[in-house]
Amino acid sequence: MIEDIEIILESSIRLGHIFLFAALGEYVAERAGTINISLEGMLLAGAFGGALGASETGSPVLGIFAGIAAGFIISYLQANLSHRLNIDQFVVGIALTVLSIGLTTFLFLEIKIYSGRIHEFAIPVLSEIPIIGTALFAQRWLGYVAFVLPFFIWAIVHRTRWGLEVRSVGEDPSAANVSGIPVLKRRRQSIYIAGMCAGLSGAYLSLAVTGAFSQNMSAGKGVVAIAAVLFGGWTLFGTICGSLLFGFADALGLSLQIIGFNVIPGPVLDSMPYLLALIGLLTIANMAKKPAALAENFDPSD
Amino acid sequence: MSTLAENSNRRNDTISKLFGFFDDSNKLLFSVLLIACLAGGLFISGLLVAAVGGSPTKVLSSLIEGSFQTPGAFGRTLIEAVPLLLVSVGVIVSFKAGHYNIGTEGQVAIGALFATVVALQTPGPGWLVATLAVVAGFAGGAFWSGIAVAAYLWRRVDVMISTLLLTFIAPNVVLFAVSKDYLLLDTTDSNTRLASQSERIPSEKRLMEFEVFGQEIHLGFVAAIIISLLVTALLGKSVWGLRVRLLGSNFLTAKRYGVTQHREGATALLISGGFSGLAGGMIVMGSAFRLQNHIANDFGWDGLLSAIVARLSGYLALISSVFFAALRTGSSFLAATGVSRTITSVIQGLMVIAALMPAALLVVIYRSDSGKRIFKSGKKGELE
Amino acid sequence: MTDSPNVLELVSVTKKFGSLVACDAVEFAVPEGEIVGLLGQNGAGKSTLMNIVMGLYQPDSGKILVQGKEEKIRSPKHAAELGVAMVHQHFSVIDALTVWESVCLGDKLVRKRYDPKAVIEEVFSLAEKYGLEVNPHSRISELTPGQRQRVEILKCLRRDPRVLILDEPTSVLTDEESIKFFDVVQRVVEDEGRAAVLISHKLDEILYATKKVVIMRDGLVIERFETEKAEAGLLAEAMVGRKVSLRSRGSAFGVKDNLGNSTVEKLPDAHEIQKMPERTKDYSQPILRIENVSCTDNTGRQLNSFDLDVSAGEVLGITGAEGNGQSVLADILSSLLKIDSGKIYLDEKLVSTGIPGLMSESGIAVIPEDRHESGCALDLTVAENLILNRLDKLSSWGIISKEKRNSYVSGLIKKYDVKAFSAGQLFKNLSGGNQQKCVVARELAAEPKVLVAVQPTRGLDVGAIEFMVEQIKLAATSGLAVLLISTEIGEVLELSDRLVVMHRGHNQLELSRNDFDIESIGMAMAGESI
Repeated sequence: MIEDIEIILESSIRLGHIFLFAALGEYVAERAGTINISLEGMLLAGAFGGALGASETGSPVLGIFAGIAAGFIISYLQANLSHRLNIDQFVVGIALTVLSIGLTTFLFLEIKIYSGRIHEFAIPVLSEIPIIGTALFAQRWLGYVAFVLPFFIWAIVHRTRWGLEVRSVGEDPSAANVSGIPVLKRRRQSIYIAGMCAGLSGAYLSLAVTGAFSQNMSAGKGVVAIAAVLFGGWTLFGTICGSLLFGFADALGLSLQIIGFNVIPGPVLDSMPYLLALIGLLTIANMAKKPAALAENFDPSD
Repeated sequence: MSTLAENSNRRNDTISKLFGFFDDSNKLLFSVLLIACLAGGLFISGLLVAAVGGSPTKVLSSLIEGSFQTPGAFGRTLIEAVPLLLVSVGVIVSFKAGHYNIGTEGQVAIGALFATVVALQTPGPGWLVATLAVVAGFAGGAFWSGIAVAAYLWRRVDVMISTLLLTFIAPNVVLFAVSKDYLLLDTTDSNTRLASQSERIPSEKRLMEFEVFGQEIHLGFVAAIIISLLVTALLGKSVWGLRVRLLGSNFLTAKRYGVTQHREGATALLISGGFSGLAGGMIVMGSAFRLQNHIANDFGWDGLLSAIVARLSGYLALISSVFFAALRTGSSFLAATGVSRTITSVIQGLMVIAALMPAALLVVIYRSDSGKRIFKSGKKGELE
Repeated sequence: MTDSPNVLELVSVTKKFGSLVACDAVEFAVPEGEIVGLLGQNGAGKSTLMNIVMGLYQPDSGKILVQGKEEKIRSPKHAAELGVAMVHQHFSVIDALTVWESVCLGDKLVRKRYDPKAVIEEVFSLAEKYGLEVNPHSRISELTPGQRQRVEILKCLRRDPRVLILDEPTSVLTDEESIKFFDVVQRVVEDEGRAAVLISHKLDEILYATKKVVIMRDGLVIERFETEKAEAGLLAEAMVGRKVSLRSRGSAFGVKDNLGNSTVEKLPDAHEIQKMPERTKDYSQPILRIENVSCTDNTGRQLNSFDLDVSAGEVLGITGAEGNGQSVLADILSSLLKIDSGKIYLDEKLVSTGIPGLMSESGIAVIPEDRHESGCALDLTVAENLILNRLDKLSSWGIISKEKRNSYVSGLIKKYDVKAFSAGQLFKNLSGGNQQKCVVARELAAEPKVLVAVQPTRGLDVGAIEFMVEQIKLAATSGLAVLLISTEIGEVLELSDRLVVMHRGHNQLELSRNDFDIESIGMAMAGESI
């Protein structure tokens, strides 16, 4: 029984990190007023870039950077198409997601990738703690970024001028504009952050969780990460909770099938994170106050 | 001053936001840009092919060969175009109403599920069962989008996010149905390994097939074209259509004249989901003949893209859905060129971006100094 | 001429938009230690001029001197670096932020380090220095308009500007708040050797606060006065440029006669009000009757036990400072809001509220305050916009009849002189004036019983204003009950047969035309009962 709990916990943390990394980036983008549908594409690109980079260079560290770069490339396109050329952010998001799926699948079939997997690093003593020890302190080492990244995001959004400007741009772009804040630039930059975080998330997925890239391996994880931000009511703490909760749902589904628990049918368990995200949106998300200018285009020439 | 900033996902001026500033006076420039962008997209695809060591011209010729030239290929393309067209029309209806139903892939799957259930379990004359099954497909898709509608009306959950999440749930529902013997799992002797699929739909219950100019086509093809033309005409010319478009353009103005999210918004989304479901029904009844895992097979996604490439015009969707269908059928001929068939999804993505670019480029041109000189804007807003 | 050097000087500045000359060789100077008034109607070019100074527009010709040095102001950022700061008409502070966050937002322009503690300190000390009480830790959303304005000016002062540009800074303030505001500005300018430009169309406030006044009309500087020597009537006439109608002058002088020397009595129109031909009609049969209605919209604006009735042929003016429930009333009558209690009768029949489309169907036509928000559909064509309330009449079997539509639409376009390439043109490509004409045309063509016009002339040019006023008069003569909701007191005085002043969501004062009295109106607007 304890072992089962350990398995479930361990995999919730592992899978939760995927959502967490991406959701943290999306949190920044949403505070600046963008719902970044292409997060899914950024995540997938990151997974592919990570695997490809690690395979080509033989170094997982460089692979991670390649993943982040891949996420950034998609975010660069998203940001400039939607917040420079002023094309609808959602349609750009859909197009880029489709493009990333197509491109990664195409290149995956054309290029041989042997990425290998980031190794595990158990922190002495801490990892001996019963139940939570292995889950938290015996992760693949990239997982430990999860201890740092939230603080980093919190600091840049809530403790810097840049963050203040980002928040103001998400709340009232025209007021920010007259205060001399470059609205579109801040929005673009926040999307770059989202892209890099999603790239990291993808690299973590392909290099730490599975150890290999596979076709369309993100499978909606980016969407769930977006839902985590909404679920978290556009607060950082809520976003983290949302991500870990959805990670738990995902892990529960997988682990219960592995453990052989078959009262709830497999397909239902597979749907868990999406179902939970939907239920979360129906219940908690609407109590929160969202950034007032969320999802609204801003055209400074008007 | 906004007194009624509802806590909703208000999405005004959908069309201009999608396709930007469109001055009536510059249709020519716009068309030139559009064609240039589409060509640019194809060119980049060609570069990509060349980059992985393939031959762009060979890829192009095999795509054309596979989709139009070989015997029966054109018919196959047209049959593939049926679900794409239906999905596109549905997407157009919802986008025009200001709601982004982008969960079409899931709605196609559920539509296929509903159609299969009816087709396999309803006794009666074949043509009647086939019709009922297709209608059930519509109901299935509408039901699946209906969940998103309910979530929107009840709790203002963004339709875009909820339909997307539902899309990832739908395949699991289908998988569940086709893997349980008490549901749809094929338990006949032919399926000895109990693969996750339903029984085949008996041939008398399938959509009627006929031959035109040597191409095998089923009745759904005719139906799809009629339905899309009809819906497109209604959107443009009927009271319902105007009300739906009014809602997408300005929901407060709409409310003043009695157009509401509860009625027009919800029906637009239900119809939208219904068309995707109808597409699912057509797939089962017209080409797949059984329900399997992954029955939707990207038809939902491709239809969505095709609608955007058609710039939300129902008439242009007729063309773009055939184009997307050709990419699908043609891709099976790519094996000989040594280039992966997935190049077609890259082409699709690029085409969508290409279709969005001209409006943005127009803005850039207008704003640039030389653009200002050339196109002395005929529009004069007031000062201040 | 004063001896003080000019902090800001514009020399022959010209700016064109297409064929429209927004600023035509404008000469404008602001000496140190002075507040200069910039007076003009909407569209006179004063905002364009200030946008040039702020670096938002580049002038086509002419030059700008800041502290005697010629500068090409490239951007708001550059303007800030040069010491030009603007207090905006619409607040540039953001609801969700705190006071100190708002104050240091955009600090980068002046290369200040981001240091919350220092900012909070500074807000405290500045607030104390100028007597602008405000807690740096409050959320902006919790503040009153007056307090927001304080934050706005704090934000500005923190950057130690040489020139302050005040763009209609008192539009949402009470009189008391306005006086306090100008006292601070005067102190800042005179004691500390800065300069300020006050853009306004309220004569009394110009007379109260400025040393000089420059009047613009149609892009030209028409007159310059030493304020001491100026007289309100003169200013008003120069601003409007012709024998001033009561409306235009009324909109210019505002009603703040408790601002310093009362100017209102000096105006000849104050007497003219009484001399206006009295309209004797029978108003005993109200068409629209609002009884004891209470309602709150989601921004917290309220109607409190509000009563009102309007009769056929009558123009009832509703005025009051902005945000006192006028918009709630308009939203209720546009079927956008549901009332909490009370009753609304139309032609003696009870009407339900909050049912989409019902008000329009029952015969209440509304010209909304912001047509882009609830008056039109920019993505539809002109024709489609014109028929929104006539869909049933123009269609059969749910299909819109092309012939009926075309003849109906072309009739309206002709009657209201809408300038469009074709009826199939997209609505967003019409100019603002023509868009407004379309809205009016659509609303009046449905043969309503009641016409509600909310700020009908705001943001329109003079020609379009004339048109609107004409239409409102015409509507009343043809037997409609007209509800004119406006903060432009002059407009209300000229057009109304009866007048209601709203304050905090209820009916503070009701006067019939014979008893119009600016002093009591002003007091009622400030919330004092008479």
